[in-house]
Amino acid sequence: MEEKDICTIKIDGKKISLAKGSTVLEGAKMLGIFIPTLCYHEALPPRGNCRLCIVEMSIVKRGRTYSWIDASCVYPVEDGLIVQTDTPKVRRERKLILELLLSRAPDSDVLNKLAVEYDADKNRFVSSDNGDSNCILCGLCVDVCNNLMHSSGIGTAFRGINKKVVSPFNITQEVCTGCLACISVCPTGAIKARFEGENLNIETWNVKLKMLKCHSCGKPFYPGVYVDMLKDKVTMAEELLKKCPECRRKVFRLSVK
Amino acid sequence: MITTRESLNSILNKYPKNPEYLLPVLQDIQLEFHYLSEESLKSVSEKLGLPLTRVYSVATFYNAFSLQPKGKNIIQVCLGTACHIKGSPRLLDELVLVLGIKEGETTENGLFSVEAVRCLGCCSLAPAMMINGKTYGNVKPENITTILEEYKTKNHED
Ligand code: SF4
Ligand code: FES
Ligand code: FES
Repeated sequence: MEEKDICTIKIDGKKISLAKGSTVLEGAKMLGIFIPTLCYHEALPPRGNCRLCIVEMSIVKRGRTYSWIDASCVYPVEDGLIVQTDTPKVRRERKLILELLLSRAPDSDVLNKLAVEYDADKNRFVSSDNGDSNCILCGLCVDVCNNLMHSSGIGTAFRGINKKVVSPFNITQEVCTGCLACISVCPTGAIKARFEGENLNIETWNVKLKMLKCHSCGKPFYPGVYVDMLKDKVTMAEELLKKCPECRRKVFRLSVK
Repeated sequence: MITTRESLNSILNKYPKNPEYLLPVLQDIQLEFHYLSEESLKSVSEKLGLPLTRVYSVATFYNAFSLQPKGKNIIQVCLGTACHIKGSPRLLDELVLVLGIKEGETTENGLFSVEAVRCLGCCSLAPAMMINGKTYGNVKPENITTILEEYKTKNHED
């Protein structure tokens, strides 16, 4: 890499050199400096939606010092940038952001823990949906469903204070494979799903999928449509795919003995 | 008799399979049927090769689209600053009395829908309202019945 493609910045007093185009958050992670995030997920592009990852930044240009606050997950590094991740000012702003987020997701464990740390008042604001959805509209679930899993079962709908994540006309049933990626990325635990006997019931999207029973032990393990989807994506004998992970391991163990 | 399906298809066939045409297609359907039905949105998603989630996002984002059937005649009352000051809320009140419906609703016979909009761009005519794209300026509550009369008969003819 050429020198002009490298930026040297300082985060909480520690110097680090990063490739151009990297973000401040990536730099902090490499240095082991913790910045709280909600809408950031390593598998997906950063989106700057929750604003919790704000930090104080400053830079000297033409003899003048410029300082500002910005979201570190989307801020590209710049030579000479000085970043401060935990100043009183940053903490004050984060407190306000948390109070706003808590009005949308009052039941979120993650948010409630942060609220204690930042002394945020959970009841300061009332959101238009009274916090019923527990969704902060970070957009991760929609992104993972549409752009990583390519299922396109859920999307955002309406706008402004009415915006929400939905299964359009509840048609998600037809395309959802029950991969549960949406649940795994959701920072607030807003998406509800349960195993009910032989069914996987994703209540939030109104999806009910029949589980496949393991061909060896008979235990329901993955939704049938999920296994069908895997057939096209992984190179594994169909017989193996129809076994639960536990039984699959047994087969493998036997084969290496 | 042209069926709903046929007229929907003729709209869809006007456009190439390209996500770029999402808005024009939805506009055409809204104009023709006065709303976007579930069936029509599914057809649009198939035709343009876009996931339904995307089509639904766009259809619910813009106020120009409605997912519920709308009336044949759309009355838009301006509640922008100028019209507000000149008493346009009284026009809405009058419409409630005359048509028996509130803002955002449609009469039972499907003849009229009432919407509130923010500034029609003709503040000098305040208070203003628009019916099917035709502007009425300096409207007084007592004129409303006369204006609506025209649209009642218009519909009877066709
Ligand atoms: S449901 Fe969860 S992942 Fe999806 S937008 Fe809401 S908070 Fe984010
Ligand atoms: S993590 Fe940066 S804005 Fe959400
Ligand atoms: S405020 Fe009504 S036309 Fe501008």
